[in-house]
Amino acid sequence: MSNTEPKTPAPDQAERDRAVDTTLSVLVRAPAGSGKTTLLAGRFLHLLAEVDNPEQVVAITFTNAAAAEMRNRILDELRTDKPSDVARRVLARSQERKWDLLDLPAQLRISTIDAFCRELALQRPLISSLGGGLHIADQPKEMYRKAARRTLNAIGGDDADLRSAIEALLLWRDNNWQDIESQLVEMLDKRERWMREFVLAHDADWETLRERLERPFGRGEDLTEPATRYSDQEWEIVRACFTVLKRAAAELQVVFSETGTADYTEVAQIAANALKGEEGIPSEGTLAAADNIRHLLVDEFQDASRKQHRLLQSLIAAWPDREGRTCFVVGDPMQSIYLFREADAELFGRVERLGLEIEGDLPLQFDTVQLSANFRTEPGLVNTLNRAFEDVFRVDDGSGVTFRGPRQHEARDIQHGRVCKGRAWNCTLSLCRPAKAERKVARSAKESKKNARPRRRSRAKRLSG
Amino acid sequence: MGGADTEGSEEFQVTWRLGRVLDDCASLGFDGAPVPWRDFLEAFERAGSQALFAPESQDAPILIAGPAETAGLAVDGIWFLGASEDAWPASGTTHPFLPISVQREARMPHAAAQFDWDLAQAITTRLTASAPKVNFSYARQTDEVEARPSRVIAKIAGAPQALPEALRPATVREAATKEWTDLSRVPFPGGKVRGGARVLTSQSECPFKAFATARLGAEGWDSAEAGLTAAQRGQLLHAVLKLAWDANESGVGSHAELMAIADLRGFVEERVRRALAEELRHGEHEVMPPRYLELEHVRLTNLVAEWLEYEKTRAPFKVEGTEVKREPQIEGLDLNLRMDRVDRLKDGKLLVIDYKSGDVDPKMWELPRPDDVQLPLYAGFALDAEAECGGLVFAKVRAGEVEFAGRVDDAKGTLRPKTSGNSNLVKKPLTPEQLTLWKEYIEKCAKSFMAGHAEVDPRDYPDTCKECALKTLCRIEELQEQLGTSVGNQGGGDE
Repeated sequence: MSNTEPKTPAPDQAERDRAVDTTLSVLVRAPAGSGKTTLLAGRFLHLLAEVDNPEQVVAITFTNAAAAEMRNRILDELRTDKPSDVARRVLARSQERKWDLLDLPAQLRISTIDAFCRELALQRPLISSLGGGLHIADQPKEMYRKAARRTLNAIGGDDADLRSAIEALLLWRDNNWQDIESQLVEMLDKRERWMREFVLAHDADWETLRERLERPFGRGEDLTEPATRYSDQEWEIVRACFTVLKRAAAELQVVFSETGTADYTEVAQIAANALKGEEGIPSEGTLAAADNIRHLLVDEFQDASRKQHRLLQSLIAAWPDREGRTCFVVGDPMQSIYLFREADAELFGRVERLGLEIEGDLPLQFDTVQLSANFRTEPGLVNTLNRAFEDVFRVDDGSGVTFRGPRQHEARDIQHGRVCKGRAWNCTLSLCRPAKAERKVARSAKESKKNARPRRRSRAKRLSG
Repeated sequence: MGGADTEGSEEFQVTWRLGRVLDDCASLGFDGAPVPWRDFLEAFERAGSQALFAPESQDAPILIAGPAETAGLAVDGIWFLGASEDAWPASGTTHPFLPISVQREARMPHAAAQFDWDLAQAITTRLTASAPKVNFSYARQTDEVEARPSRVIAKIAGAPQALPEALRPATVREAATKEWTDLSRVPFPGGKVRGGARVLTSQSECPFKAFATARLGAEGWDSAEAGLTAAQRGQLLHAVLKLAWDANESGVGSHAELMAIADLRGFVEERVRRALAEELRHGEHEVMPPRYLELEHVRLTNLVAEWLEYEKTRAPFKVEGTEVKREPQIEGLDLNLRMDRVDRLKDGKLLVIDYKSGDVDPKMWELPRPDDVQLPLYAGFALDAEAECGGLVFAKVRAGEVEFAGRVDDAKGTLRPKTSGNSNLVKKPLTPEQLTLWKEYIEKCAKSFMAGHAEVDPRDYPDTCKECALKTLCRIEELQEQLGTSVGNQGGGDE
């Protein structure tokens, strides 16, 4: 990644200035190579120059490496022989307020979402029922297996509902204990996808649940036409699954508290519960923790999962007011590749359109900033590629998806050769997908998957010949 | 720990500590109610994993300790590892049950960054006085993350320097090992070989597999599982079917006798009960929930009843034998074979049957290099010389999917009149030529095994290797890398 701030002002400098404006909540679309880490570090410094104490600024990154890189970037800015204007202001403030930032950089709150959640959870030992310690399990699979096994052992227990649910599942899966156990392990691993209030409710309202689960199978544009229903036999199995899963989730919590260990999903859950508090009212301690965070920065927002999204919402909901507080999210929706890691590509666009929706309050609105300068690629390469793709995109491939090249003004920038020394402007190649087309694509992808034939192995022939 | 008669100091400490853990556990059940063994074991295991234990030692030449435990230490030298900025001063969280203001007042660790700094400074200063020479070191990079030196230490010990030459790891010399492709073969000296038909199947899949399993005795091990293992379930099914078809065991011996059973379900149920009692003799009844075993009873009954209903639709036959043992010699290789079942068909020919609860496809017998030779081997070498083979089939005994799959010479005539014309049983009849080709191939395999051929040459990488436990022994992945590049070079790349 590029390490230097542009010496000549970038053509999108006005946008960049807006991105570090400490009075605004900003959502930044930052394509690859547009100097995102520099921008984050820059905003962090601008905030440090204004806050009462460094702990009021919290940055959340996607990986430990990114957190360390950002921390090092900020410290480098402060420790260099020729600090920038903003760095000088931070140093002055550090001296005036006796933060001693240069020696005590632990005060900078930059961490991954997991570490941040752990910190929140640690402050609430009663909610976590994991007082004493909160170790993150290296091998959570072992704990899932233990919980799954205990759950299935309840086939010899007193709970009649649970007993018959386990029996139903076993008989359905050819009495294959291993199979059910492994499936439970897998479900526990992915429980943030299914563990919702309605699953864990004390007395499940099965009819409501059934309707809710059948809804996506509805027909028609808005899916309201009579849905395909589960047969009673199928529903019995679904119901048994929920009964068993619910128990497995509970067993897992027992395993966690026995060992004083938890996985990241659990930690996030505890943090979320702490923020939400009992009966919707967060505890004083939690409020104080949220209150103390005046500025949030979130990196790689395109890969944020629903879990992370909800955490952000709860944090902001716990703010006593929004005056003098900001939230800054940066990401590249074009690079959202972590769907398998619970990322929800849709969230980025949604926040851009509607703001961050906050329960019982107005949504938090963002100023959108689009970066377009590229510090990583040679101008010649960018221009050539952009030209080539213009032709490619013009072809209608019949998929119903419209592709487009650089936006008008972006293209103009390229044509006029507004190129700094050694740097080029790249313009995002965008995919525009109307919702309907998207559904169509999803459908055809599913079909083609169904029709796909197993790959033939040609190397085998070579070997056996 | 050695096998000496007297207990050493460490052994004594360990036993003493274990005794204390036991005492702790015993004191848990204070209501006097008996605790099931399984629960106690779990509690004991938990207590054991939480017990701290390090044998005490006097005058250890090297002491490994955390910085906080070094007060009063006087030693010849100290090496302080991991002296990076993020690790020293140590950071942590404040105590959740005390108000932060109180913690700050009491200067509790982590209540303020400055306290941590002061503490680290005090400890570092103390350490420098504890030994004539103190080294601090840190790794510049861990997990792709660049680390910086601890500022506390830098202020006391000065800016970090590169590791002195003398302490660097020796530069890598040329490897002492020489690469040498060993194609010498050690012929099999003869004698009993483990694994029956599997030896030759392995020889066909990958000669190394046959060599390693049959001659070296290498095998993977199964992880501990709750519930019945797949192998146990297979054994149970085989046992029930043997009881059903073994005339000596009060089973039925022919199609006619099968048709004559009035209460088929009752007949099966009785045999399932016996099989469960006879086969599960290793405490399964104590370890596994009784209800689970009852469900297994239900499952087996349903499954075998379904299978027998299917066999009712067959053309008349007589059971020649179940679990038939044969010991043929092929190219000097002595094999122990056991066929699940052999039937005599109505035209007098013999049918070799193998029960399978998994998904199997007779395609695996296809020449030139079959994935499996078990049944072709039975058909070619385990039937009596004067007998004629009318077919070899897998009996697929799977819930909702019971059928024969294999090669027979007259599916509609002698196996099952109802067999669909589209079925491979009809479309690909067994021919005497096929049997001969198989026989020749199997002889070739036996010859190659006897000659000591042990090349790592899987039939269909990576599919053949997927379930194989020998990967760390044959190092196929490394090999495949080399092979992959050479294949690529020969074939030429895309231009």
